[in-house]
Amino acid sequence: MPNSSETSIPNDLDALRAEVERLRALVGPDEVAYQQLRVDLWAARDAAFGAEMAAGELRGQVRILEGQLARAQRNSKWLKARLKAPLRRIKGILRGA
Amino acid sequence: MARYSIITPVYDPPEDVLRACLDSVARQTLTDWEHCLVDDASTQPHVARVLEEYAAKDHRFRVLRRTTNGGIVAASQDALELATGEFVALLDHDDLLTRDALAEVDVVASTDPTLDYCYSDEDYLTPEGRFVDPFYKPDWSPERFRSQMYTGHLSVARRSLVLEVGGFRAGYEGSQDYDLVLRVTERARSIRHIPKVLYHWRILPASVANNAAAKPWAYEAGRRAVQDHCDRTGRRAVVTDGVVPGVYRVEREVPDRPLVSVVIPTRGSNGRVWGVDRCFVVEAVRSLVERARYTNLEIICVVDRPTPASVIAELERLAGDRLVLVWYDRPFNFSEKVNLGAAYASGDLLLLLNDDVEVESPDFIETMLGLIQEEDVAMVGAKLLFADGRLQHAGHVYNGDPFHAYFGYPADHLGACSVLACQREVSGVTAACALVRMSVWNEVGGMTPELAGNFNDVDFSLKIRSRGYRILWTPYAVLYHFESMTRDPDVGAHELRVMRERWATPMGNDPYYNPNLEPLRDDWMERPRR
Repeated sequence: MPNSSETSIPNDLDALRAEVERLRALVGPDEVAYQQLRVDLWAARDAAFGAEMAAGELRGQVRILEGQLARAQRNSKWLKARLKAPLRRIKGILRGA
Repeated sequence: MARYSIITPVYDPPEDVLRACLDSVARQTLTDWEHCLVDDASTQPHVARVLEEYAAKDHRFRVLRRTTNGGIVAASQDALELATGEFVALLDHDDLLTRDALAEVDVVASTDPTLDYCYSDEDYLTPEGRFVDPFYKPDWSPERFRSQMYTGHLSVARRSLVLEVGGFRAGYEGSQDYDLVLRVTERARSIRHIPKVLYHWRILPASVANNAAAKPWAYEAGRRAVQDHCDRTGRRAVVTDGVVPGVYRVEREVPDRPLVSVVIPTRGSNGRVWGVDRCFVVEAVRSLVERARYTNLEIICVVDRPTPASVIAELERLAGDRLVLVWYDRPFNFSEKVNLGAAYASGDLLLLLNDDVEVESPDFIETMLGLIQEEDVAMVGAKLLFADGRLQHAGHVYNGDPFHAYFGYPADHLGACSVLACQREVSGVTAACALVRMSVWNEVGGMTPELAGNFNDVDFSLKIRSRGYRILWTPYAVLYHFESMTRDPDVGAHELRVMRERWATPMGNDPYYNPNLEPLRDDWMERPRR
């Protein structure tokens, strides 16, 4: 007479086979598709990473341009101040005359 | 005896250029000088004529003519031997001194009897006669000097010391000044920087000023000069070319592999990086264990009580017996958490690490260890990048308020005069990744708990520097820092007040910046010239 453990083996195997079928149904018809999904996942991650880096590069370029703009604005302000002083003096002289 | 001897080797400069150079010396407001000119057997007849004309007009122009062409080193050495002054100043035959150059040097030399070497800021003179691209330099920064001949012009050194170190050496043509100044500064008692442009470097078609590729052998000579300097001074290091010509990397050996205690304060929070959800501290430890090559680590995680058990389990799985867990159950206080973690450290070196970092350079710990071997270096910082690759940290700048240098610029940005490509002294570094000597940590009492969220690293850096230690930053230790993804970055008024009360003076006087640069900026923008 077979013991209980011997009778349970086919039952467990059936359950495992059913689980494999269920998982295959979830990821696709075969393991290749599952591998492909993994590749796609990594490619998507790389794409997200690449896009983020590209955006960062652009933001960095914006920072450089902001620096250059600030430099130009400051130089222009300085130049105006340097021009205004003698102009004021000339105006004063002309008014006096 | 004149106080200042200007030494100039001369070889076939155009006549107008040579006259401009000599006139710039003749016009010095300080009169106690001699100009030692050595004609290195020039082939152009005007050279001897012009030199004789100036020597006849003014006896302070002293001229020697070599019968054979010996090259820049031989001619410079002859000029040095002709000199009698207390100090020698180096001037190239096509460049100009400003009128007050020697007077400015004399102000420093007169007030500092131990002065052995000083240098000033400089700029370039274009063929159209415009002065452009000023190089505003830091105060004496020996690690940067090993990375780059940044002192350049105008360089003035005590003559007796120059002779003592053997003067100019053959075999270093093109970088003979770098080689000489390396040897002078090894023995100098006092080195000073004059933050004024005192020298105009003329751009000629074949000059290094115009084109870095013009004299590749000069850069190779520079690399050998730094290697020699390391060998002479007992630094076990290999010097290689940096990312741009004229910048070198000094890669030190780490002979023994000391235990490094990594302190990571965390609350086990999650976030999304590069399109993927992650638990920050788990990924930080994973990168430390799996990506970093250095293995003699003890990883002390100071964790808030609410940290999920799954996070703890994952940390234990990743770090194994190298993990030390320290529980923290008080309101958030970064300084207090780090101090608590440091109290559990058993290594002589402490690596402060935020939980929102990820290692990029596998050898980042070795690189930082190499630098902290310098006996007066107390802390070393790393190059940190945002997730999108921009610069988050390249050393602090204390320019009115604390700033991160070139914050938000592209990762490979070189900065003014390649500052971001050089290992260098800085006023402070972020505690998001910093290697600290445990002895110094204890000496200054760790971090200030009064500064719970902000400026604790600035305060810590300034405490270290006030004890006379140096802080270095290296571009060769790179990590990602997903800054402020794990906490509120708001700056409290109380913290700002504490900082201003404690550090008002150093906050506005960064020795590794320059007073000619615009305040309240992080990008070396120059102030308008007066």
